[in-house]
Amino acid sequence: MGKGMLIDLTKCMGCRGCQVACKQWNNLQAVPTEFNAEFTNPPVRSAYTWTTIDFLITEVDGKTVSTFTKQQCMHCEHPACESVCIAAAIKKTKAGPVTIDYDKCIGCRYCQVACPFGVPKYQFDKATPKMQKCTMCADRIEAGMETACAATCPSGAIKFGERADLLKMARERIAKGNGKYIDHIYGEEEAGGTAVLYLSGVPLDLTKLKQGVTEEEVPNFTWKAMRQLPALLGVVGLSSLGLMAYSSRRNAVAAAEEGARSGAGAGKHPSKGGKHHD
Amino acid sequence: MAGLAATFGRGVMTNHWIDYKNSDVIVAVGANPAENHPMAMKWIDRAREERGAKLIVIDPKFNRTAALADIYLPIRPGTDIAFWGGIINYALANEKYFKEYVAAYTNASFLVDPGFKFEDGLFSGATPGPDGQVKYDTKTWQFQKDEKGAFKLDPTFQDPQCVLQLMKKHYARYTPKMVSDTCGMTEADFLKVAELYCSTGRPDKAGNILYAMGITQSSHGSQNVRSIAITQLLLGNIGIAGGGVNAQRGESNVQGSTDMAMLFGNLPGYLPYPTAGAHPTLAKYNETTPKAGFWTNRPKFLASMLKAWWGAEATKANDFRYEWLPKLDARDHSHMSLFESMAQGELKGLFAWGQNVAVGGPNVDRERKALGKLEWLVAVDLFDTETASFWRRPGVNPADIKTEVFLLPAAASFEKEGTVANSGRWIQYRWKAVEPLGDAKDDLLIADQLYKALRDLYAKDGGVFADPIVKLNWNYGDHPDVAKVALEINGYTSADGKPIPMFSALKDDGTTACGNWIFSGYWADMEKPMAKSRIKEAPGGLGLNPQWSWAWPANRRITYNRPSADPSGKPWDPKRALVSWDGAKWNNADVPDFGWKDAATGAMIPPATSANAPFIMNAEGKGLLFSPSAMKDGPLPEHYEPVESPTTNRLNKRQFNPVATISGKGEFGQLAAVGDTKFPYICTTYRLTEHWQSGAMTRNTPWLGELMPDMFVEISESLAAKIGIKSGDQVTVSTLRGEVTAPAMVSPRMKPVTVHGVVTEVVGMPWHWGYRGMFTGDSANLLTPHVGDANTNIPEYKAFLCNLVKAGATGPVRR
Amino acid sequence: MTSFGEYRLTRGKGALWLLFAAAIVVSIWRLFVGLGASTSLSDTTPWGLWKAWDVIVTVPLGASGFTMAFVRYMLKDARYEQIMRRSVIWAAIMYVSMGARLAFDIGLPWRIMNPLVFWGNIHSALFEVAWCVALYLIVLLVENGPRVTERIDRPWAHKLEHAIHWVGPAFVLFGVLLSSMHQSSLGTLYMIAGKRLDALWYHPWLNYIYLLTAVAAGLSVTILIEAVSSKMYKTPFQTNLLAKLGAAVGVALGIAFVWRLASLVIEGSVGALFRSDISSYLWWVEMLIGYVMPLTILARGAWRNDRRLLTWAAVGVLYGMISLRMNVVFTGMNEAMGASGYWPSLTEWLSSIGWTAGTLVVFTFLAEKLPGVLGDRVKKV
Ligand code: SF4
Ligand code: SF4
Ligand code: SF4
Repeated sequence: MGKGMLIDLTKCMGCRGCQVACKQWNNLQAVPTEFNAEFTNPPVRSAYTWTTIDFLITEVDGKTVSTFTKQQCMHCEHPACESVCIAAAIKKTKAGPVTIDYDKCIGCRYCQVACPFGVPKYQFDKATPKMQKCTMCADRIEAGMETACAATCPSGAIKFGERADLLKMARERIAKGNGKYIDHIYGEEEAGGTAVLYLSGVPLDLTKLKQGVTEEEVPNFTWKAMRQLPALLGVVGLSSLGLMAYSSRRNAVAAAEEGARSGAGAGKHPSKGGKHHD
Repeated sequence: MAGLAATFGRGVMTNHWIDYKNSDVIVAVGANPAENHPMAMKWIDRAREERGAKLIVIDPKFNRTAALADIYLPIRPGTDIAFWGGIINYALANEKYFKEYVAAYTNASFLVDPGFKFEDGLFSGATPGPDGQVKYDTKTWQFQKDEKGAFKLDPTFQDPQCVLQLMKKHYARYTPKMVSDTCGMTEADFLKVAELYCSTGRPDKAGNILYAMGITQSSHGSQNVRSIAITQLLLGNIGIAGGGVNAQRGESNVQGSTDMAMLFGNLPGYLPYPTAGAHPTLAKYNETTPKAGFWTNRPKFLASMLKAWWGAEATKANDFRYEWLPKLDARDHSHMSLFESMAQGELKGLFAWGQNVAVGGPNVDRERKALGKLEWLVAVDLFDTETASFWRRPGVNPADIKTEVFLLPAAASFEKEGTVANSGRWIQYRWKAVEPLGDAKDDLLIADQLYKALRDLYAKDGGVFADPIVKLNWNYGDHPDVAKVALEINGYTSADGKPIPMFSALKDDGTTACGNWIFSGYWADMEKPMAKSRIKEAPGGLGLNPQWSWAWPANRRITYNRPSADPSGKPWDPKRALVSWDGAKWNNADVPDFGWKDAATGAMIPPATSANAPFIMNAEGKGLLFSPSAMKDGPLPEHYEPVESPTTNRLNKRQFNPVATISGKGEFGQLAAVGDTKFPYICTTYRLTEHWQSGAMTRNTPWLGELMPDMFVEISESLAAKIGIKSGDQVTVSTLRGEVTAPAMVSPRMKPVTVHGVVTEVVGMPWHWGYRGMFTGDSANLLTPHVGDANTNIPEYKAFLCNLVKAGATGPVRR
Repeated sequence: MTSFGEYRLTRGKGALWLLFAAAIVVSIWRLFVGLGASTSLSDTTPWGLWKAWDVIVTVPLGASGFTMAFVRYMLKDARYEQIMRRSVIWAAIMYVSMGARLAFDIGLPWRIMNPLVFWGNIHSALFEVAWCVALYLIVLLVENGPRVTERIDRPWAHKLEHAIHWVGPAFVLFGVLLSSMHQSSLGTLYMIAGKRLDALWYHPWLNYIYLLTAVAAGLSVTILIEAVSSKMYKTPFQTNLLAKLGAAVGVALGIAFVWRLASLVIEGSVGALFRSDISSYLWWVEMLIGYVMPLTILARGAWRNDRRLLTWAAVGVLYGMISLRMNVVFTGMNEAMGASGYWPSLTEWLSSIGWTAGTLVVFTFLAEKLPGVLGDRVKKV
């Protein structure tokens, strides 16, 4: 297994240092925004904003609740985006990150449809656009560094490391937490497992994490159909050949009958221009 | 800070950031670490994760720190003394205080002058002052002394004049009901917090109170601090790891700047600034030296400072050129007074050096106007600020303003080198990362060139009082060398210019020179100054990191650490041992903050001596529950309403702090009356993670601006329903001083408070915006009043009255 | 010697040519301004009208080719020769047009061939579609080749025609295989969404539903071509032959219908039908017009053999086919993608309409230029 990040939502204080660090490291331009009463800003992730802290402010039993959910690519262990990419531009690397090769991407945008978390974002505003998303700072990882967001996080909410170790750490925190955490490591099973994992102290509907995400490996959704293509080919091919043989035979019999009854008048099959090809 | 000095002797954060991890209960009051001091949260989280510590957040709005808190307690802005008075009462009445600690290390047993009284909201000794306010003569607040001049004590705490009894009586009025009605919280919530926090009043628990501008920016801010300091003394939380009163400074180098005399009443190292009338000569000045405690050394510090300033010119014979030191008149020259004088045309010019007063000052439209009375204004900043461009602010005609404005581009922190001192008093060196852009210069170079030009002008043309400038000992090289400046601040021996190791080496005979005595030691090794040291190690696991930079005083990380051990020198809690006496010698994890070793002989000083005077900076040697002289507005904190308040004061007969600075001076004097129906809501201002102070830097940083592009006004759902608006609608907030229009943020973060039975809405707004830069908006300080704390004159930004109505358009309006 | 037919430009055709020209201009303009400026596409609606109509719908509209080639060559029914010719040339036009339109939809059109030539991903349904479509275009060229060669009276042309004749059946078989693959794979495309797809349109084997509806739609297109051609060019509308196709449509559609309903029940999504929101209404309309109406007609020999009813049935089938595909792209993913209110931009409308108009007029052009397409006509026009 490769690297990943463990994001402990009980520690995140919504400072958005990670959001700025991401833009800084990856050289992403600021986008025009206006005041958002929910605080989340830019309000949606885009080709220029790969990670956001999604704020949620609400009331539960008369008590104010406010949570901060860091969102970015989940770096699925079996990425849907990779599986659908027509150009094989998206790759789950051994190191953990799921990356997009800009030189290969043709811009079909199928990954946007496929990603169960709605992650890839396109530069619709450009004439020569790129498909963009969090790279898990693959360039930093290659250089032996942790991700920019993890390095910045003042509260220690983002931990970077081997996914296996992070999973262990997450389990320990839940076990030692005395009920501080809900018993769910988001990303352990979601989408068949993701390199980014989350711990939460509140039920997930009080976070902005996407819920109802399948626990199957998403590429299987299409692979189950594509796997059957050879069978489909076999069935269609064989039945076509069979029908062809049967039809030839039928036509031959008919022709013979025709010959026997020649001179009797109009044929059974008035043929128009088909004579060359029978 | 005044409140801290008046209690413990030094106006500083007692502990340090990393020490938060040793706390068991942490209270953030008038502080919002998640948003304003994010790194603090790392250590708070460490305490919670590793020791199951609890975090209590007390704030008018459910801020981002509250989001993580174990208990969130809403409070009406400006009622902190009522709250802490309630806690003090709870601790005293329920015997929750740490008795042995209080008995040994505080002045609880001291007997106060029989003439001391508190009546009708006034302490004894009040005489009428300006603006309907009073002035105190502190004679009746003093402690009784016996014939030999020793303090009279009652170790049994039975004497009604003893401090403990006086406090019990004083705070008996602060019942849970009174407190919760005043502060706008429920009694149950108050008691829950009181119980949890007072659970730290035992040897094995540490309670930590951290505060920031929510406490200090009040007409009784210093007393707010005092009430916290008293609470901590009562619970035995001072001097121990994980305890303390942790004043979180508002900027990365506020500590450093006040250390270096950025306050008008100070010389470097908090030496009081001489005034012309009272201190015409050095002898007169030295007459005011305290008679006991560490401050008895003050003459050495001043002499060394003068020696540093005028070098060979300063000798013992000529009083180290004390006469060249400019003296103050007896007037207040803090921010608000300065602008009032400016409005009167008394000021010719102003340097706004890294200061954006046109956004940050109270009643700011009047202050912007006052700038127009100047002949010249020099702004030194990274960007064109509102101050530098005050002459072209919206609504004025530049041609009408005659002030000549200079904008000097300054280098940013990454473009220069030098030290900053953080809240925990660590003086850390910062290296230069990149060269300054364009014409920008680092501040040292700007100051150097400015000084040299002035000196040359004086040398050439002469002028009034030229000597102090022409003869100043100023030789740091052509391009000033930071190390040379640092050496001078650290101090050196006059003979050979070698750095002195520590302030104990300073003399008043001219053999030593030292720019700032409290910094002595940070640059004692010219090759490897401690300020550059970066060794991460924490003996004892308490996170003291003694070799990571250098902390003043004397590299001490936790101040007043003698009380961490009992009088016999045994740590109250062995797991938090800072200093301990093993019967023969002291074993120290931190630098002791008391006399533990005879400097001359090296002999150990047994614990009994220091047990008697653990607070070395105080003449009494004790932690001052009752502070007889240092506070202008009373020896004990008493609740007064903010100057603008929706309700009458129910705790006593004075409405607001009788000593607070009230600007009655003409155009700055607009104040709403108590319960003014035209301004029915309480207004408070605050800061956000995304912006820094007046926004001069952050509003010019696109990555930060996109996070928080616009000014906004935060209100409750009930107020929104009342005036028929929803989030994002434009609202106009008005006070007698001005009005602000911005989109509303309606959410359950803000809730009305019930004050003595009356539901009162609270309006909150960040104050980071102005009319220049990439992200503009109305400045909240258009609304704030020109009134300030009695001791520090810090403006009351946090509690005033306003009205709020729906504005015309929807969607953010940029100006 | 060559002997191409003569093209008659009428006012109606002229208008269509103009629309086509406008679409081409708009498409080229799009290259310079990018997708954001020219379309209503966004991160929440990454696939819009162009993907839905110009690709996902256009391909099954061209299914007339493989279905009729199958009838003509696999079933070896020579009576369908003329019908097949029109269907196959129509298919060729649809596929070529689709390819061009797809190029303008993708972000970097000049890279459209890269995945096929340099690299690719066999796990991608889209990759599979691309390959099949590219290969199938060759098949279509071969299948239509004789329409051209028969007009050229040269030895090489005769040789070529002969060669095509010789390899024809193999190509037809190849085409049938390719088509079953990519027609079903167009359904596979959205299977990656799993249950993020609205329950109304979700089907565990959407690929087969797409294949079945593509077969039904392809044959229905043939019926419609015949109807229009008999009007425009007075070709015979051979009701008896077309009714047989109608029966086949009924079978494919019937299976799809039953399977879809069954899956709704099995998935426990019947409640979704009564949500009383726009998409549930769209579902009902789709079912009534696209399945119930045609199935009712096609189930009865007499109705099936009624020229008008048969034509209506074909129209209904096409509606159903289009509705399913458009809904999957638009309403079906709205919630999952957090999309709201995608409405194609003027450019998108103009392009889709213009390119569609183009397919119609190019058909008239080829039909008139290549007399073999229209074959014997009752009366010369
Ligand atoms: S979250 Fe989406 S974009 Fe990221 S790896 Fe998974 S499927 Fe790909
Ligand atoms: S891992 Fe890197 S690219 Fe991804 S959100 Fe963090 S900083 Fe951005
Ligand atoms: S940097 Fe850390 S604490 Fe700050 S918002 Fe990001 S995850 Fe949360």
